[in-house]
Amino acid sequence: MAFPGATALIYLLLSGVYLLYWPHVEYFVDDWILLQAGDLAGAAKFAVKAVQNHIYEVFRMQWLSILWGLLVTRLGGYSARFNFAALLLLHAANAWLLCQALWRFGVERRFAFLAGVLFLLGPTVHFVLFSYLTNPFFVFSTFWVLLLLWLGSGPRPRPVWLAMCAVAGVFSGEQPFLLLWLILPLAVWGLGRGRPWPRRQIAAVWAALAIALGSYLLWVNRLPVRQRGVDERYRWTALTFRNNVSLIGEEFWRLSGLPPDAFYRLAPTLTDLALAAAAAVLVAGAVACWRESTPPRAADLRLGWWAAAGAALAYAPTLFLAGGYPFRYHYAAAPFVAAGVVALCRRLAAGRVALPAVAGLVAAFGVLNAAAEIRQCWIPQSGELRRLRAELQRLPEVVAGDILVVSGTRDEIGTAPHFVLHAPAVASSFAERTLGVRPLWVSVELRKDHGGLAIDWDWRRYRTVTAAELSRTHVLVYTGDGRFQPAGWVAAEFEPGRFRLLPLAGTAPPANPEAVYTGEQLALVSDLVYFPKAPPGHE
Amino acid sequence: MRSAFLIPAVVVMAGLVAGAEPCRNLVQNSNWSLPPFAKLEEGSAVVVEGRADGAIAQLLERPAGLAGGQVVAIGYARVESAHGIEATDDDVTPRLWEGAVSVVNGYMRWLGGFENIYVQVRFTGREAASGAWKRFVSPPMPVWRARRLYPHFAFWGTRLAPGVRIHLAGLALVEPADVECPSLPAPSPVLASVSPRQWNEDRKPDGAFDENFRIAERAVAGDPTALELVLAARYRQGENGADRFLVAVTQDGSDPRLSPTSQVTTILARRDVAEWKTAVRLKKGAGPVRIAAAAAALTASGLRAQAAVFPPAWQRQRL
Repeated sequence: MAFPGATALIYLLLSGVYLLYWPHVEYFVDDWILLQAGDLAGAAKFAVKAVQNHIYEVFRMQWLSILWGLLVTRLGGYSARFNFAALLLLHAANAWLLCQALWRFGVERRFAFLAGVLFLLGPTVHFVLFSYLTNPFFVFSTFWVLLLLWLGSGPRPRPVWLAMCAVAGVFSGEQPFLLLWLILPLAVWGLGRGRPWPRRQIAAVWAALAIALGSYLLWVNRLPVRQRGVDERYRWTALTFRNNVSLIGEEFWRLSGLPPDAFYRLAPTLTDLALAAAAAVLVAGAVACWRESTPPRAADLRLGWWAAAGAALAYAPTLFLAGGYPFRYHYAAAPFVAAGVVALCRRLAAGRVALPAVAGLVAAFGVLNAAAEIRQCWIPQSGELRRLRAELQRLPEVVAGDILVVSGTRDEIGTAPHFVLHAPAVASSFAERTLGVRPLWVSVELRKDHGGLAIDWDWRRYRTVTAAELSRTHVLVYTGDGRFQPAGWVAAEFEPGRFRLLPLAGTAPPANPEAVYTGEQLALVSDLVYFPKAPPGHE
Repeated sequence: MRSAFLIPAVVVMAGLVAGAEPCRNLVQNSNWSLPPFAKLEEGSAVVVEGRADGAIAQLLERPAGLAGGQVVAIGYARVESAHGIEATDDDVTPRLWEGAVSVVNGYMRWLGGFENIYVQVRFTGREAASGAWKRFVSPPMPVWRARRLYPHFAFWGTRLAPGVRIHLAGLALVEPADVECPSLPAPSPVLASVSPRQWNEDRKPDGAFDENFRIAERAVAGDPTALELVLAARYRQGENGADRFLVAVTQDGSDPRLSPTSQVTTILARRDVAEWKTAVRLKKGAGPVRIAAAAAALTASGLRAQAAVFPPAWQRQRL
């Protein structure tokens, strides 16, 4: 079989490890907002809001990814598995495109193939596969590697195709990755040394990007870019830079599954070991078969410098992000990291035996790592979502306008954040879709608020809960062992250590509403009584 | 040069199949570096009063072969006050001393500098008044960058209130898997405490009372209208521990869990001791008497109790 076909087949087979998650696939966080788009008219309205940046009221540019999400979700009949399958194929395609592009630029087949394997199975790419199923933040990478492949091809494509590809790529990814487009000429200069400089193509790409971006900012986008795109998300300080560099290093280490504080530990089952062994044999065999007698055409240093420059451009803008480093941003840099590792391999382990051995170990490790993350983070978190859904469906008489409080759930399990809670708008969309009732207000806690009660609402706001609303408030408390316990009363503390009981939805008022209880006494019925929490920062 | 890739890979694979080492305390002797403010007492405990600023420490060479690469520091403390302490669940630490006292899990780095993680020594009124030891366990800390380990009790600008003495004992440094190892040094009696996981996840206890509920009546000296019931029971701790037992009593037949007339008593649980007992004072001739008991634990969001039990042996129609 020819190299392109063989690599495509192997990448598809290797992607099979991600199917361990298949029976547990669920929509994640923002997906629930998109799922509320509804019929065609609703979807069209949602699409317009997305293009204008009115979904999150934060300036972002990946509206094309959101449209892709709308389309795939509708095509798949709102099946999370269909979305997941599409993502998985897209990721495998990205790995294949990277492999082919490097090969066309003169990197030997076995090294180009290994770069694709590293990209396909690298621990830093897992998050985007299992998380936002309807908003693939990495579609832009497809356009980017496609462009790279075209530039590396013998007969250059027409500039108009390149320009369209670049414009589609820019509007499929977030703005931090704009800098990546600078890598284009660098790719030709760095990887394709000796080739004619594709002046017309690059000029067409840059001109198209300038026109498209200018038009978008002037006539389509409805949000102030600086305030909502830069000031809110970035802190241009040395401290932020240092913190993010340290965080990224730490994440790389913890994602390996090896250190004591890893997000998950390598604990392979027999199935995982069999998959890892198969992957090792497949990859080692392929690398051994594709050994070429001709000397490398592109020098190691050039590949290394290109990879380092790409990784730097992919990471640089994100190093000033405020409030932590989202896992999904690793994806943009992953092809360069893979190319960098391959450059090192060419230098250090290119022998007849050493390279297949290293490639086999890398593939086995990648499979074991992916299996560990799926089993220890994503499957348990998906299970929590399913239990919560079942519990919500058991609630009696939930009607429009009711308040749901789901207290005590874990923010994250390893790399997997909770699929719906801890973002009120998302949680509400989830509950509305689950129960077929809207609107609903969902929060993770009832909080004490100046003598009254409030729920977390939106990322910045609280919403007061009136006494009348309390009888329309359902409270579920996570018991820590996978169950949810419905509470019947709220303990209102009117003096330190002294409480009165207020009935929640579905509970009759107490016989003596003025009765006073101590905290110890209420602890005896702690399954039935919910204690409101202090406002954040006052715990 | 090519073996540079193969050797770490083999080491990693070997590490995956390596078994755990048996329980061991890295603090193997009592060579304490005692500051002037601390005095040694019987049983290798240390007592501190007055002003204190410094550390009661051990400096250890990092032993080879720490399986998990992490260590945890454990220490015990109890306080006594000449002025008495009210048995409540309020944090009374600020009334016992200014500044801070901590159990510190620290180390010296190879390239210079000091890293540490610590747990502050704090007491509720109930814990302080009990006179029993309280166990403090630091969070685990990776020590792969450590040259020397430095577990210690730290006194940071501390000044104990007049009449207050703090006793410290049983400092140990272990790998996380060995935290509950029975052979570690420990004073007695020690209060039961919940694990960090149970605390963070608000888990209620999951042990069980056995059916050995006992009750005895005794007269109250100087008050002929009152009677004391001495209640005793046994509780087997589960995976999620109980740090106290609640006993609720009513004398009018109402449900003691939600009656405004309920009288609730808290008994702190002792580590590794299943038996507990308490005395409740009631009006002679009152009834029916209903008594409920429950195991409970203080967690991040408050007191969490198991479902209460109503031992038949404890219920009385009339006293």
